[in-house]
Formats: sequence, C-alpha cells, structure tokens
Amino acid sequence: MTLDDVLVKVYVEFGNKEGLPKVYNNAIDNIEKTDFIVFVHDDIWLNDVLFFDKVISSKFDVIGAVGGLFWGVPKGFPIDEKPLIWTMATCGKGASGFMLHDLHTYGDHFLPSSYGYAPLETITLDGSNIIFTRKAVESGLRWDEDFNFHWYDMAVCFSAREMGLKVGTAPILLTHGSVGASVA
Amino acid sequence: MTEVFNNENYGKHSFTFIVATQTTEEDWRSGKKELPLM
Repeated sequence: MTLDDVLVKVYVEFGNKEGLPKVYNNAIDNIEKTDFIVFVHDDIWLNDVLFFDKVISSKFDVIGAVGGLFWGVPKGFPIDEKPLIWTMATCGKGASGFMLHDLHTYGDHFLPSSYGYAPLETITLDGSNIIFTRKAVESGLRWDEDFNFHWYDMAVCFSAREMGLKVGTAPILLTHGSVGASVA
Repeated sequence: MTEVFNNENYGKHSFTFIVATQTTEEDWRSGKKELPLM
C-alpha cells in the first residue's frame, strides 16, 4: 500500500494549553468523517512503512502500539498522590507491543521497549498513539475530559471496553521522542 | 485546529492525524521547533 491508496490529513493544535481529551474531542466533533483517527503525541516518529496496512488490517476498534494485559493498582502505590501509568498498572502481568525511545542523553542511541507479542487484545493502551476506527467514533466513544495529561489513555480504553468495543495493539514501529513514562 | 497536510486523493481508506502541541505554528514553520510527524 502506498500513500496513493489512502487519504491522509494531519491537523495540529498549535500552542495548545488544553488537556488532551478536550482537544481530541473537539477534533472528533469538527473534522470530516474518516476511517481512522490517529491521536498522536507531538514527539512521536512513525517509522513503520507498513503503518497504514497494519492499522487497516487490525481487528480492533481502538488500536495502539503498546498496551497492558492487566490493570490494577500495585500494592503500596500512592494513587492519591501521583498518576498511575499503564506500565505500572500491569502489575507485571503482561503487556504487548514494541516502542523505541529517543534518549537524547545517549546521543544517537535508542532505547527499545519490548513489552510483548503484538497484535493482542489489551486492557489499556499507551496514550502516545491511540487510533479510533470509524466504528469507535460512530459508537460514541469520546475522551474523558476530567483528565488532562495522565489517566486519559487508560480511561478511554475502559470506556471503549464498556461499550463493547475491542481494544488492542498492532505491531507498529514508533519512536517516542522521550523516555516518557512508558518504559517497561 | 490548523490543517497542515492533505493529499487530496480519496482512496480506499482515510486517516486523520490529530496532534496537540505547545509549539507555536510560527516556531514550527520557521524550523525553530521540530514536530516529528511532519
């Protein structure tokens, strides 16, 4: 598949000061109908020449590059004081997908995070790259605007699953421009 | 939202990317700040 086979549009909310869910919902409600909406952080490189093929062939309704197979609060975690990241919420019980991290402190070296086999149905997805299919959008899936920059990715996965939508990973190669909070 | 790319070729599948950034459009267009996706 080449770019001739797909319509690609990119919208950027420059100078953003809002929480991501608010920006994302605003986009859903205002852009033209599309088969896939790719919500992506501003420090993500798409390295995968088969990105479109892998997303199109996915059997999931909400798709990410990496995610967790379990969600729980680790024993002793101060959940009222700091956000629980999806990697911690797996409680060591499994994850899916692969991601490179661009570690500026190590020159041109990249840190690979290999979480596990993909594609797999997951409980959570990492918010650096989450894709809604048309089915997800038309089912009414929206981001929870009670959150800003944490929790929102797990929350939308919970919402999707409650709606009967399938959440899972695709074996997409991405590079995250930071270690982020998702390093396994 | 600012549309920054559109290949204007409706094919079999359509993808719309949404990026939120603190970077200003001026800084991006001048090359002062990089947005990897673009």
